[in-house]
Amino acid sequence: MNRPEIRQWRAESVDTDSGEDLDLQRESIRLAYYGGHTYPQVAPLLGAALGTVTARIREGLIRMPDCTEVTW
Amino acid sequence: MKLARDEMHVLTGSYALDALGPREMEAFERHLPYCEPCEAEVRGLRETATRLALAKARRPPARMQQRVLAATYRTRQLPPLPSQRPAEVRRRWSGPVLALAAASVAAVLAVGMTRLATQPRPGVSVQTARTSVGGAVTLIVTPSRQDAVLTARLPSLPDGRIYQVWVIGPAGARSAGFLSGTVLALSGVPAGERVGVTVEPAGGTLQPTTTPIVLVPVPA
Repeated sequence: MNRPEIRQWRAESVDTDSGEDLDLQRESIRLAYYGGHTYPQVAPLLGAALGTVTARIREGLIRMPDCTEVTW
Repeated sequence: MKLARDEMHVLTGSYALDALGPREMEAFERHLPYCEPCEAEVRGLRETATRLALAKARRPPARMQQRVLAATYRTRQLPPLPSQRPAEVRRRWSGPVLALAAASVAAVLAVGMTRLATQPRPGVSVQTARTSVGGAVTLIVTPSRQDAVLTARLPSLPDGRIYQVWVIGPAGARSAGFLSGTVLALSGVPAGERVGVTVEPAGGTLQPTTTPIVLVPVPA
């Protein structure tokens, strides 16, 4: 298994998070998971591009285990 | 939507949340077995997604279970509403099938007594076949070859094993369900195809993994 490569890949995606990104991550996941929307449905709701939503959902999930204090 | 390999990687999160459209879901599931990083990431993100569910879950009050159970004893079951049932359900369990089910129960008894106790309806085909593990199955098919009932008298299986029923045609085998009791209703059994039973791990499989213990041809 190529673990170091995967960790590196994850680290790159998470290190660049800004405050705005965090909001988008949370809202994207909220709408997709609790709202039951597909990401193409989420994108117009948040006024974001399709690629942005897929990226934010992924980043948000990746960083979630590190943020145990966060209330979703 | 045609997606490049790099775009696939970004879909892991949406896939873990079941938030892909149907066509992307298909494309991503084709990609997944060939991409170790995606596969590993999906596994991790699925666990995370499970935590999302737990974050929202509320433990019901302890007395709720008691109240619900008590209510089930006091509440009479609602009568069926035939006119409001979906067409699909009505088609599958309409008169002929119920009659077949009743006939099949009789047939099970008949197999036990090695003598057929009831005459089948005209045009209904009844075939009994012994299986390689002992016992026998009986396949009862309507004249239209659309609906059938399989009854079985089979040895019980060790824990973790089940009998799975297949309709096998030129295009391969498709699962018709599990024989958890002695009767299974089948829909769509074309003439010339065969109904088979295999022993499979609990939960069943997508395709048969063992040799059928019995194969019954659907008559023309």
